[in-house]
Amino acid sequence: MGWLAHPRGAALIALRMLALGLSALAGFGAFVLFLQFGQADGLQTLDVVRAVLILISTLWLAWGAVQALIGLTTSPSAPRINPSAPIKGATVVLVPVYNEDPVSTFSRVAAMDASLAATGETANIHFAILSDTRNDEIAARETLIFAHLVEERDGIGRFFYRRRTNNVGKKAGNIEDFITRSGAAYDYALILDADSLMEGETILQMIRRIEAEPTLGLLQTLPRVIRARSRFARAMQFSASFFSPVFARGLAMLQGRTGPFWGHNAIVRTRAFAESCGLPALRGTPPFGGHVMSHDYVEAALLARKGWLVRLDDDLEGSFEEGPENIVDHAKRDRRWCQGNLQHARIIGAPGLRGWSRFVFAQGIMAYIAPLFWLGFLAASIAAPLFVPPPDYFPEPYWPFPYFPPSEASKAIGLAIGIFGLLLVPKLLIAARAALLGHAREFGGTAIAFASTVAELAFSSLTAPVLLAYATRSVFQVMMGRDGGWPTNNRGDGRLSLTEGFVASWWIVSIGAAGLVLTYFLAPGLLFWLLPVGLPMLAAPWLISWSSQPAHSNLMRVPSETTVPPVVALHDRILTRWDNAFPAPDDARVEPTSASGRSPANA
Amino acid sequence: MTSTLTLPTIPAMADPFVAMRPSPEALISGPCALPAAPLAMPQQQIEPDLRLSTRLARWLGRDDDSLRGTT
Repeated sequence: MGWLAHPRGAALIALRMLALGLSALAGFGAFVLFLQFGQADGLQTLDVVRAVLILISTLWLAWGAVQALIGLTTSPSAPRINPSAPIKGATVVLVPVYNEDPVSTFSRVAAMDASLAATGETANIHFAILSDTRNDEIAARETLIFAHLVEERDGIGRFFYRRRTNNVGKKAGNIEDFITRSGAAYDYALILDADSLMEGETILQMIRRIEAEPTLGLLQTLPRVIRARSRFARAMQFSASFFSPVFARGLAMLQGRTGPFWGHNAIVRTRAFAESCGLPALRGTPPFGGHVMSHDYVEAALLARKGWLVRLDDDLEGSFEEGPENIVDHAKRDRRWCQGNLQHARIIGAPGLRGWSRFVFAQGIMAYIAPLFWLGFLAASIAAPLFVPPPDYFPEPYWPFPYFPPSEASKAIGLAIGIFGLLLVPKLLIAARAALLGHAREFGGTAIAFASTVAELAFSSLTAPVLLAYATRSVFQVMMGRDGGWPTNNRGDGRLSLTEGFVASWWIVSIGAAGLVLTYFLAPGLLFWLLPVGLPMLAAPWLISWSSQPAHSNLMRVPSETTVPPVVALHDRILTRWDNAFPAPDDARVEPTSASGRSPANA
Repeated sequence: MTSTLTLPTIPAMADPFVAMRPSPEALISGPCALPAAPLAMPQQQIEPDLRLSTRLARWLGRDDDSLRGTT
């Protein structure tokens, strides 16, 4: 079944056509059902508009579901290479930092170096910390703690540090600056984020794989979220550990030679990256012009354009990242990704790109504008009764008995069930498969894994309207020309009070209340259907605050909690020691941030 | 009670090993500065060329590079 796990040629084209065809079929089915429903009281223009909106929205939902269904058909498999082959090339591990706490970040470097040392492999692997830090106090602390890192790990000749005087091009510019100054010294560069952590053995396997495949330009791993504490973060962490690998498997089967790059926890062939990925600023000013914000997708597309293979190896374990602890920090990060993805509208038509790369750009754009289609559908549905002519119960002039138009409510209910099915069924199937194959044991056993799946579905259904509201606002802000900049995320304790939740979401409460009141007066029959959207919006401050509190439930367990991965345990020990040696000034720890990284865990 | 085995406190710089240790600033501008090994990273074309001259050339069936950059 190896050909199915990594289809090529005609099989790949057939699989892509099947995936797109099934999605289109689901969208078209929803379109037809809605038109039939609309015909019950006479087909109006607004009905056709709503049917088109539901077609687009369903197609998008179905595309996600189809990826999962495809992913369920195979298991990740390692490429056939010698897993203990001697490593010949030189590798540099790049750690771009931007105002993060150096104790947290540099202790990760120490842990990865110790993990590499524990393998006994003597490959030529260096670490370069590339600072874009703007805050002078943090920069001073970086130099101090870097010196400690070098001393502790005996790192002279292997560890390097430089701070840019200006951070032109942000993270992409930071990497480019390194390549143009020092790139020729290394065959491969492992690109990390400040919060990345990788097992030494995983790093070695990545180097062996890129060394064994001369056309491989970039190899991406699937990072798992670790160290989540709050309810929100644990739900994300569970989703990333339990569901994302299957979605990623589907993505890996569809990728062909044009796989993804999520900006971190990936290795590149330095020469390929240098010759392919020099990014100019886009014409005009931000948000659509200026420096490319979500550079990772663009770099993957440019590597593929030059003929390099870009591949996601989802079988590689030991790749970790951390995530935001609350909805507000998630929304802040998402704002940046939204701008970055919408900016790709300028790049999607670049000459010579592969078709699948253009499709990936379109997919990224769609991920952010999809809520607008749902919003349009809801608004049109609330307004629709205003345009419906009164029913004519006596269409025949001399017929004494009234005529009641046939009810098409069953079609509406069928449509709603179908749409919810697209959201629920893939996750339930993933849980069933985990139970059958025994993977559920790592998540606390079959019962706990199923209960966690149901809890995650409930939690994501509750928070979805709030997250969609933030995403919609982000799209409007970008459309109106507002640049989100490059803000630092907080990933510390992350607890938010009810007041802080209200400050962050009063406008969501207002929109939710206005929507429900309007529905009550204009389309009272719809009120019940809109409650799953309206009520979470009304409760947004409480949801934000509640979900930011530490989780104490037995649910949503992940394997990294049951058996702490060696590099995470190493990092824990080093961090505790360093925290005592270098207490944060004013006890105000600046927590690690992700400058640009993304992964399906966060999708 | 103070142990008689307690060593006297010695200023750090009096330790010859510590004295040899470079300062953090010396470290990052010396042995831990990035190696000088430049690699060219030419800028790529990432936007479609929508200039009239290019489109006209394409329409005429000659994607002539000499027409580029003339507007």
